[in-house]
Amino acid sequence: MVCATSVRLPLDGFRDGFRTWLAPDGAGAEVLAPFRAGPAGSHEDHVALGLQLSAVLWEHGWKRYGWPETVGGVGGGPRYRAVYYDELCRAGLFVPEPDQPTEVLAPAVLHHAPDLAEHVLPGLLAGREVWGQGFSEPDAGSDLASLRTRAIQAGSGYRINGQKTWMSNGHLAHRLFVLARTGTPESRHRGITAFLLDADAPGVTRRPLVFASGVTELCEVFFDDVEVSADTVVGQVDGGWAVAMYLLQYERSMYAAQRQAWLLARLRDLAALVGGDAHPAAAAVLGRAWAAVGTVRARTAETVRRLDGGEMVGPEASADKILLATAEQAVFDAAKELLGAGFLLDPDNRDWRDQWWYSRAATIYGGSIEVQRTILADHVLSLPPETSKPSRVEER
Amino acid sequence: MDTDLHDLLRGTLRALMQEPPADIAAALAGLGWAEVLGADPEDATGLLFGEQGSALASTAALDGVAARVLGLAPDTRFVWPGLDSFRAGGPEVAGGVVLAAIPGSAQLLSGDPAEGLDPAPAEGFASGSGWYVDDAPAPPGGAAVLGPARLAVAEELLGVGGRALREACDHVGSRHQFGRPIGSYQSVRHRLAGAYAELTGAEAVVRAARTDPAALGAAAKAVAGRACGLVVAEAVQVCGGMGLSAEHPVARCARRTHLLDAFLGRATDLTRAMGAGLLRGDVPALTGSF
Repeated sequence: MVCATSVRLPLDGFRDGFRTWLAPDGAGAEVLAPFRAGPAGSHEDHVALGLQLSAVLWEHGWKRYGWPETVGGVGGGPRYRAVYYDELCRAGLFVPEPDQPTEVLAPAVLHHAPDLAEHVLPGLLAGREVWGQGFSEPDAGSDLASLRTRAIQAGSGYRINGQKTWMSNGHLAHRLFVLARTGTPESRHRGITAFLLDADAPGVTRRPLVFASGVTELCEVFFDDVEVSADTVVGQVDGGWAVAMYLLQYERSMYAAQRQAWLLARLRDLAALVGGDAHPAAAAVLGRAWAAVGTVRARTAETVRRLDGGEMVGPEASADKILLATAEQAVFDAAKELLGAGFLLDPDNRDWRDQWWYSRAATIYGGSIEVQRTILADHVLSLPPETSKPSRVEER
Repeated sequence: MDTDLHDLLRGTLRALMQEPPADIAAALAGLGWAEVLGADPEDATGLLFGEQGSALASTAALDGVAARVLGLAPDTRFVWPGLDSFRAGGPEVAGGVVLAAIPGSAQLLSGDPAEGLDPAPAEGFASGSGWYVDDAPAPPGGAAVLGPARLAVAEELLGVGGRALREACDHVGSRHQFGRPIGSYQSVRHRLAGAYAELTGAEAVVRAARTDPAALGAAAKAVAGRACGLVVAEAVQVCGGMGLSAEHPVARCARRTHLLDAFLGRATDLTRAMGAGLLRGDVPALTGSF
């Protein structure tokens, strides 16, 4: 099959067709050859290789599944995209780095700014762009509603001032999806607006941050009188919180779908690396990590189906986030345990070390695990609210 | 099974398990169980064992699962291999658990008459569980039963774990210390929220396993056993001294969880077997598909 899009395949047909195409002796063998070895080198190289792989898969039609025709897709829902990532990793390839923010941000732009989506999404999906997600600020992490980056009306558009931080791939991005305050400083979640702006707009300064692993994949972004037009607004003015909550459903489900596929592949790699004459504890350590990722897979498959069926994914998805974060840490803790001193010192194990560090962030980014537990306690288990009222002990 | 029928059936089974009948096969037959199973066997089995777990009831319902797999009459009785059977090494371990309290009608899966079968009520951790222990040999013909039986026990574990979490949430909402319900303290809330997340994940694995009990029963039991072990540990902690009194539901949930975990393969052994498979390049079956 040269082009997968001549007729839209049903989900099972898509899975089988893509799997056959990806196989070592499949029709895609020649164009996939440069990608078989996987990402290597710097983070910039990872991102560049991801864009190239996306471009190939867009051109051959497989990446068009799950995206609407208005942005160059062939239609179908998120389940197609989950199968897409699943099969990529199953075939020994990888989830292109830029597709992680894509799965989180693109659905929100599609839903809340369909006209803008028609303009910007084809380039993103076809592997020509990287987007950065500008949510966190120095004083607004898990407490996102306290963000202070301001957007004030200036002529027919807006002028943005402030600072974002911990933005993945921000220094490599073509566009930035930014939450800024359009209401009063006290307006919390009611006075926030979402913008999608050019990363090289005058007044945007990006400063890469070196992560604990030594990898430069994050950056901080400064906005000094950045002028943007009104058509960069995603959703309603002062309605950014609704956009963020909509987007969160995809972060909980589609990002997890990508990660579980990749984590299962990492565990297969680790088992092969450790080998049959492994330490007696190896089977137990690997088995626990496999069960943890298998749990993410089962839970995520249900959540993606709900999303695909048009259901809103609510606070119960905090469980998905906790399961994914703990599974990521289980996988890379397994690597750290089983690779011994080589984990720390062997130049060949650099990626395991980098990923171990990144997995430490899994219980922090996207709302820390503590925040997720509080959401479950409040909104799912309906436990008594936490109170600022001092206890009798403190009053004494 | 549609939602209305599902809810109706759950209500019926919940009522049944409040006072579990001595002859569960006859009671289920009276409910038209054969027809229910014909419509959606895995969903119906999940409901039955979930309610059995939630009620902390002890019945011979697992015999019905074995009978169905082997194509025998629904009232066939079985002697089940003992608590430490089916570890990574395989099913060749002495010791048996009779799930039915009617030794005279017990029957081995192998079809061999049980020589000297003399079940005694389980003691120790399992005192008062309604389980009987015997040293009958493990059944050689039981392999086909193993996956579906493990899935059924996983369903029961989830019922027990769900009950433990509900009991714990009720307790921390009503118990006051230092002038506040203890469920308003973050340390308590976070323990129970973490337990909920684990239980929720295990529920998804068990539902995924219903699509292929033979291949995924072990994974379902492994994940459910581990998750419910964590849930009852947190539940016992937040219920304080009350959770440690013999008849408190949380203590009963804990006993039942550890017993069910040990039966037909512990979580630790089943997960180790998955890891050993990975090391051999024998990738375990995946729980769930998109």
